[in-house]
Amino acid sequence: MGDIGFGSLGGILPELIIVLGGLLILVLDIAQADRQDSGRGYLAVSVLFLIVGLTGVLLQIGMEPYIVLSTTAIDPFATYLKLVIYTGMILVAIGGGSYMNRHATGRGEFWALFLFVTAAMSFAVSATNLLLLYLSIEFLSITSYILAGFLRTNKRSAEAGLKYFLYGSVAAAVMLYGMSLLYGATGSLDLGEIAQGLAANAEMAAIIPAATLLTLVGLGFKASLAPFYQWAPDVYDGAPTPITAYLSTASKAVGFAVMARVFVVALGAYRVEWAPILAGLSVLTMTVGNVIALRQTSVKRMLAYSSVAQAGYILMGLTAVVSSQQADLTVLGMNGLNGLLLYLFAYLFTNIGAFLVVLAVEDETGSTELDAYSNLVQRAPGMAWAMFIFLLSLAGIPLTGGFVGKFYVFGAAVQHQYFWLAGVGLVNAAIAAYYYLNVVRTMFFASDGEAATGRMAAPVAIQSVVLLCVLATIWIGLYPPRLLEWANSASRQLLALML
Amino acid sequence: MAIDYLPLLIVLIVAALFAAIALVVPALLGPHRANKQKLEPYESGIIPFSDARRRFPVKFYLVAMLFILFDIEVIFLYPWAGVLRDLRDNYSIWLALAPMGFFLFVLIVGLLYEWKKGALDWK
Amino acid sequence: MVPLNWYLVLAAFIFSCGLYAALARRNAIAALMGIELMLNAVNINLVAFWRYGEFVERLEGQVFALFVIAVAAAEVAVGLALIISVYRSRRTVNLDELDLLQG
Repeated sequence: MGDIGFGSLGGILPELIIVLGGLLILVLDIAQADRQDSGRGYLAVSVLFLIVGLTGVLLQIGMEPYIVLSTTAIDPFATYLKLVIYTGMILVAIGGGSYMNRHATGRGEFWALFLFVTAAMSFAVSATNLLLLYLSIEFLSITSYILAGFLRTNKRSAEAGLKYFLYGSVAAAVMLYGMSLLYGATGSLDLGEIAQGLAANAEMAAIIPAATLLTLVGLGFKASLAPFYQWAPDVYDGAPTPITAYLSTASKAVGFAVMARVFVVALGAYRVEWAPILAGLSVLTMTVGNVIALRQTSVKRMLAYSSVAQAGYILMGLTAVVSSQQADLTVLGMNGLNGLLLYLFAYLFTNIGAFLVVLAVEDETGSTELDAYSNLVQRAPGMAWAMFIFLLSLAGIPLTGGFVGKFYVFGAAVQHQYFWLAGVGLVNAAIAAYYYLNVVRTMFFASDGEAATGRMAAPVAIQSVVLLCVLATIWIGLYPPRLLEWANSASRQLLALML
Repeated sequence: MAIDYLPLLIVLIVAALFAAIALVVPALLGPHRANKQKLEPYESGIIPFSDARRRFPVKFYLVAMLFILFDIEVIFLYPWAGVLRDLRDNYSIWLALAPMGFFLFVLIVGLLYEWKKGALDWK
Repeated sequence: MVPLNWYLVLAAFIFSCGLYAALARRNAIAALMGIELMLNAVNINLVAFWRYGEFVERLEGQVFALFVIAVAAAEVAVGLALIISVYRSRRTVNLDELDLLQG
């Protein structure tokens, strides 16, 4: 508990900047309380602060890992995930910001919350202490509840917010109960000290299954894993589309990151016992997500279920990590964790892009149903082709980012002798391809041409972000070495912490 | 260990017995002459005119929520006050003041925001 | 002194009551009260573990409980606000009737 002082605060400067940005927006909003603001200024300020934060994180690449105030690790793993989070939030802000500005009341509030939620995610991936972990996850959750229900006059949005709140706070309370048991078993809140405490007195091992299962409920909820996924389709469907875009990518990445850190650092010694449970969750998640996605008629809801299914694939990476009998995981080329990290990065661009196309179509036609996409290629060729790329990437077709991610998590499962898991994953990927390609068929070859009236003009902001997402998806698919190197160093650093 | 709690058990039993006797004996022995005044909810009080579980206007909830938030945040001042002197003597006065200053700054921005947005106006 | 187990059993009992209320009650406000019960059960756990632990001079358990109280207040505020916003548009807080999003 030695390092009390401001000396190491530089490490959390990006987060501090983001929080100050949020406060600044609130102050700006106070200053013009009487006027109805268009929100463009707030959008610009938010993007500016996010870019400054991203720059701060970029500067931390390659630094020696260190810990701020005994609670916040500045290490390659956290830095990698912060890149994912900040990039995602910038894309969502630019692409979806004007939609929110048009539909939301209280724009200052919205943008302040948007920055706060970024800071919360950023803290969550760095936290090495159960207290900070809980606080940042709750901070993330509470702001997300508000954002999901932000369009108060929209019944669906309000319902999504309330459902998210009820599921989320139950999951958080269950997770907290698990954390209190971990604290009781070891007398410490620090993840590293918990691992040492568990190793030191073996009679505490009895409490581990209960504590871990309860903690897993809360983290699995954030990552929308199978038994705790029910909120996800409803919230993703009902929330404003830009909010869905970040909930299904950045927020999910936080769930997986925290899960990886807790399992590897604090519970690494028990990993062999967890592998079957995680494998079961993974299979359940991808199967449930894919099977229900098959019979969706709304593209937004289909993407919501597909996002649940993708969580199942991502969990395969973590399963591979914990299943390994090998003592030193850092020497493996596919240790599972690097697959998880790669997947999250590729999935970020793909899914945000896909949801922005949904947003553009929703803006134009007022609908998210599949009918609204019929012959999209004639009305908006750019959007249709972009959606085509995103769907290919989600299905895991080679030369897209989604393929690289899938390749590494499936590869890791095979390398760790989890052949049946990889097999089930492949069957699932085939099922998923069916409903993804169904959308493609509607966009390109719909038989009834009656919907093809006039061209659809998507806003320039959405078009440019979608273009960026397409380029990034293809870039990751064609030339992953640089990203792979980052993911490798991040995963090795975390795995080296395993006791 | 458990024998230490025997007095507690005796007290509980005596209390229960006393309550039972006080209820049963008057009911058996006392005279029963009911009339209209005696049957009112509050004898010689104000006659109730409506159900007490009325609906409150929603603005009560708004003010109550804001009150709870600022009320609860004060609990962080309490442990801080406990270590303040220690921090000042062993480290520096800035280390003692600056974090709480930042915390209160965030709170004050929030307070100003709700004030200027009219959440405190009782319309 | 009362043994640690008694506190743990009490906390587990309260936690289960809260979980039951949160999952089984159809009224959103009752579910919210259940969640509060769960959080308070955790507080009992934390403080009991702190008191009976080896490191009484490290106040982690107590501080954690303080933070849980504060976060619970924030959560209730947001929850009530969301319930009110749903009630305004739907005139109900019965969770079974919130069925716009399903399928």
